[in-house]
Amino acid sequence: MTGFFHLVKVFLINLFRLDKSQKKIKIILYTVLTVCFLPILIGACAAVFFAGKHAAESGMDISSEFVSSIYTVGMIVTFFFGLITMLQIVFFDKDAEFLLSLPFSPTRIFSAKLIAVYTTEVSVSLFFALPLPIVFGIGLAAGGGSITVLYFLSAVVMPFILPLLPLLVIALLTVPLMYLVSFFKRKSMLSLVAGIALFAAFFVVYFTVVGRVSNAGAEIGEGGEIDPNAFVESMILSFSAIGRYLYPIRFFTDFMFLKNAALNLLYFVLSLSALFAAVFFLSSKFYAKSMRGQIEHAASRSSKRKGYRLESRSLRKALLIKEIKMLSRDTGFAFQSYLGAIMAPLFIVFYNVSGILNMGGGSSAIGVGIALFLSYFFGIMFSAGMNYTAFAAFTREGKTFYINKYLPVPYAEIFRAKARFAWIVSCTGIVLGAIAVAVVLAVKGEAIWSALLNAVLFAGAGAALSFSLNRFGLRRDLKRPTLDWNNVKEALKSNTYLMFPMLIAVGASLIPMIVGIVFAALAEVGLFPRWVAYLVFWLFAYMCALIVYLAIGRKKEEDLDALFNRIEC
Amino acid sequence: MLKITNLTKTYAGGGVKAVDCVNLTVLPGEIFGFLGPNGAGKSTTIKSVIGVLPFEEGTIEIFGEDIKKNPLAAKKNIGYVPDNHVIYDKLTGIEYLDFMADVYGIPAAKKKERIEKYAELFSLKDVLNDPIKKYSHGMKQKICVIGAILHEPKLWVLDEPLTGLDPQSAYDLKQLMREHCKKGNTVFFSSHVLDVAEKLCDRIAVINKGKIVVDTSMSDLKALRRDETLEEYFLSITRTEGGEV
Repeated sequence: MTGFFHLVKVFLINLFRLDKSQKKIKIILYTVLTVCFLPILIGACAAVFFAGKHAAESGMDISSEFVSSIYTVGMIVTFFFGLITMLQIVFFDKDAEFLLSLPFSPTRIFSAKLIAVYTTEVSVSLFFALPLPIVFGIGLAAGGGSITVLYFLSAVVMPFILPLLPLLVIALLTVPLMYLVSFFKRKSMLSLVAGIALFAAFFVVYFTVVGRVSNAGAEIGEGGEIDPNAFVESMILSFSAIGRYLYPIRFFTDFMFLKNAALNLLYFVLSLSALFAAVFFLSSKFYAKSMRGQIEHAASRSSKRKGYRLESRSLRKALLIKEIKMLSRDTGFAFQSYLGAIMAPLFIVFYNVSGILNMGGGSSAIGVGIALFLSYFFGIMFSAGMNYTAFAAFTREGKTFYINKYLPVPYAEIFRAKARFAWIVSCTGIVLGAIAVAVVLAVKGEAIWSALLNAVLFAGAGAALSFSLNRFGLRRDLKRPTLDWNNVKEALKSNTYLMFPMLIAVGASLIPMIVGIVFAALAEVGLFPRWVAYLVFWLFAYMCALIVYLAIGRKKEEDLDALFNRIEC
Repeated sequence: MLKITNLTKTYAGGGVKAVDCVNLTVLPGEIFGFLGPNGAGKSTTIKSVIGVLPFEEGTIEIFGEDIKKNPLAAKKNIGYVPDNHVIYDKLTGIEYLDFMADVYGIPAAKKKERIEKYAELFSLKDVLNDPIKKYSHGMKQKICVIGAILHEPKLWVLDEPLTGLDPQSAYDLKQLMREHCKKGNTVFFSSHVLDVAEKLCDRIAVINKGKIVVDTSMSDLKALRRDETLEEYFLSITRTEGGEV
């Protein structure tokens, strides 16, 4: 057992240890993020407080469902981040050969990795699942409802248990999937496809759930005047609808509210135990095989293809092809790098299909406007703001980075090749996103020419913005790349600057979105035609793209030699 | 010709000079063995020569081109084989060689001819379509060697080039090194295998604690070491006061 804990310790050290130079920047980054997210959390706490108070005052017996739905949101968030972390640490790690040589069973190795993943996810869970149920309890008490100390104690304990549920579900999905992948020849590509398919499936489920809440909420506005109490009540009911059937969370929340407490606690423990048992059974059967799949190349037979075609390529083309092949065959980094471009159109389509963008009404100016503006926001955030093809371009080279330095190739050429490739990836997501936007707008009743024009403008602004963000991200990564890593998670967690391009992307797409919504609302009341709202939105979108370009995108290349040379490898 | 003058390198934050005022001249037509115990400064010197590591003092000239002032021209004259075989292992052998040939601007016809020649010589022809990560240690070494000499550079810099090679491939590589030097080119290689250095080199230098302690031709070395074997001589000049090598 001591050995097992050492293993866990090693995984955790690899994941969390930062050098001194990174600590300061990380602290600043996390402080900025906390400050940014604090208003959202405070707003959510206020809403939950009033929901609790109203539920108690009106005698609604939905507290268990409501708290259950809060935990469900926490689980969805944990699932989102946990799926990436799980794939990176458990399956796309480079340490398979070393670990299999140690005197540990595959289940123990898997468990140690699971604990490492769990530790990373607890912080996410604490952020969502700790304050909201406690505030809801306070709200219930303020409204005169009965609430016990056990509730608050359970609310403190639950965030630590909560990540286990999505992680075990992820394990149940990924262990057999990666086992199946290990049978095929193109393991890297299949692992990548499987990982992205899992992610896409997650979003389908997510949007179905969110769409249900949204649609339930939308009904309250129908039929004339809105009674504030009825509104709150309806929102509580629709929100609680998610949590009603979500076992085993529901067992625990029933226990918190002392509904058949002993029996529900027993059910919860049994459910969790069953999940654990299933995961350990699967990992004992399949995990070792999927790990060996990563290292059995040396033993496999040589390719039967004997012929090859050689042609002279320009340096530019040779570098670009090398970049594409190296990234596409590195499952962990490819997953992280291509995810944004693939998720952008999926997000736009599912978000619109699920009905959440019908908030302002289907084909009204505000309805179509919100669909367009939010689609732009998500398209930019995923395609340009999450493009690790650029933001980790040098980090992902790891120990092969030195090759850049001994080849007789100008450093600027290497930089440009990476920038070009990153832009191709961004633009793929943006073009697919633009097509999705055109379809969505056309379906919502927008004239075809208008839908197409908006799609073209979407693509133009997105391409411009991603050009600047990619170059900025590349330079940031070059300033301090992490070249010594074992897995993607380890490589990326040390990369302090990954978040900056995303924050800029959020800002540059949020500003036109807010302005656009305001103008669409004004168009809705008849102040001007809806095209004015679109025009203003695009003016702001292009203005933001121009500002971002002037601020960070047009940086000259004179200092690239110095940046490359200062990296000792 | 490789000319290293007053090379001094201190790693960032280290404080200690990894290489301290090293002077070496390797003439055209010479096979030069660079010896030294672990941590003596061999790799630091080699990485400085090939332009991977920046250094604060001194100059390095490769066939007249200063690696600091004119790095691209200097690097074109170098073929480098690393000791750890860290290369683009997600590429297939042929893709890697294709890439290297493109980077060094080798025309398509010559590219094919040279790849086939060296792949045949090192018995890699049948595995060129396999990803390099599938290769054994020795095969990785061979593909590194081919990638480094494909553009027929004037200076070969080989870090432990014979480690992991089977006897036939080791023999073939040594032959290649000799042939390369006969054409007036230069081979600069590091090794722990003293027998190889003794049999192959025209000259050797021994580095210890960042300083060159011996730089001599093999004929002069015989006079220097008297009755000692090269191994005994090497140990005697690299042994520290505490007896550690």
